[in-house]
Amino acid sequence: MSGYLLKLIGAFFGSMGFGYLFHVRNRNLIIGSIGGVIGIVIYLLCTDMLKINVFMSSFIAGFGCDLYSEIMARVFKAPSTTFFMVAFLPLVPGGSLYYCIENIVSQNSALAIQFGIKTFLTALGIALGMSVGWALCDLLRKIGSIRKNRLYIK
Amino acid sequence: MEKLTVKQQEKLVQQLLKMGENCIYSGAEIKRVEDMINFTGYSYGAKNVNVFVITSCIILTLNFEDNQVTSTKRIRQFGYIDLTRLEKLNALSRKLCKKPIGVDELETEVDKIVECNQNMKELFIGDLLSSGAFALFFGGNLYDVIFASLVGILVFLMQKYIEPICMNSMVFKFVGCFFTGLITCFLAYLIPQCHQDILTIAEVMLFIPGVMFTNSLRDTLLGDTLSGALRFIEATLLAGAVVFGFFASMYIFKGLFLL
Repeated sequence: MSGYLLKLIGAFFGSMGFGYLFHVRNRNLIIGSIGGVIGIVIYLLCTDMLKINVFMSSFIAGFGCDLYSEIMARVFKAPSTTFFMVAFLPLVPGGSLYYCIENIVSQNSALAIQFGIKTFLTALGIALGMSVGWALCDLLRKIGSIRKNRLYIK
Repeated sequence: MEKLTVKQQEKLVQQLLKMGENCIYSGAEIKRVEDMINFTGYSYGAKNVNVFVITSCIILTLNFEDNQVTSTKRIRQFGYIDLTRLEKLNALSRKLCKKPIGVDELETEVDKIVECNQNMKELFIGDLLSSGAFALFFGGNLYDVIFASLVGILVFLMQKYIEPICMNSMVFKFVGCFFTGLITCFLAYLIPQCHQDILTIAEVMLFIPGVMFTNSLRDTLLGDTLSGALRFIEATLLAGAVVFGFFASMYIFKGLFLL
């Protein structure tokens, strides 16, 4: 349990650190960092509790992060890019990439391929989850606009 | 909105190009940039706005009643992600769509937003905090967190002094990762309480072009296949440079200790 708590603290401050790198302001920084924690919570729930594979876990986590960013963007009148770029960073597969490199150096090709595939699937899962989330939010936004009879330029 | 003179129309095009260029530097999607230029152009009385944006170029034509202005902006890879600048440009564009301001006033507003350079203090805090936090995130102990943060400071110094003199970002990623890898290997060797894998992973997170990769996929899904493909190739090459940098450092370190 304490391991998970440290992971969440690490995710919060890691996202915050990247928020500083990306020059995000104070309020948006906290919100983005909370998004990072939410993403990791979803990922850990999927992998450790529900025992879902890496690709689907990162897909669901990426989707969750994007949904959170879009909601916060509407609430705080800021581009969703601001929140999403800070929130998805703890999900980036740095660990599996490193182990892939380490196994290439140690000439363990089977393990290197395994970690390489894990890195690729995680990255793809996040990207697809984010994309599906964005497409869904855009669709809902356009349906809302049509209902309110607002003009939108094609 | 009163009718613009020819000189004002040309100035408007230049300001729109400047806004678009800075949005791309700041990490915006291509569609966001095109929408911003489109809506702002129409709000200033253009009959037709034709804008083409890719990550290395913006071409804009504004058709007014009596005139047509075309201009091109070539975008070099000098930018760094600045989400506050993006937010301010976005807010400015929304304000202009509701009520356009004079073109000279627009120039002043845009200059005020884009003149801010990268804040070294924030870069320092960011590198220090994220490397330490990711060491904790990947299961490190107190020594890992402290030494990862110290290596993070080194990464900051490399970004401040070495990145400006590197030919392009790929060269910097390789050089940065190579020296960072060597240092983490030495630290793990000298300090038995440190774990080499955790130290290195914390630094890998600083170098990986995660944002570029997700932006490339976002662009592709939004219909800008060309920009998406360009960004994807660039992200893959950068990731390759990171992998090769760490690989070279670990290979050489291992080789030195086998001699």
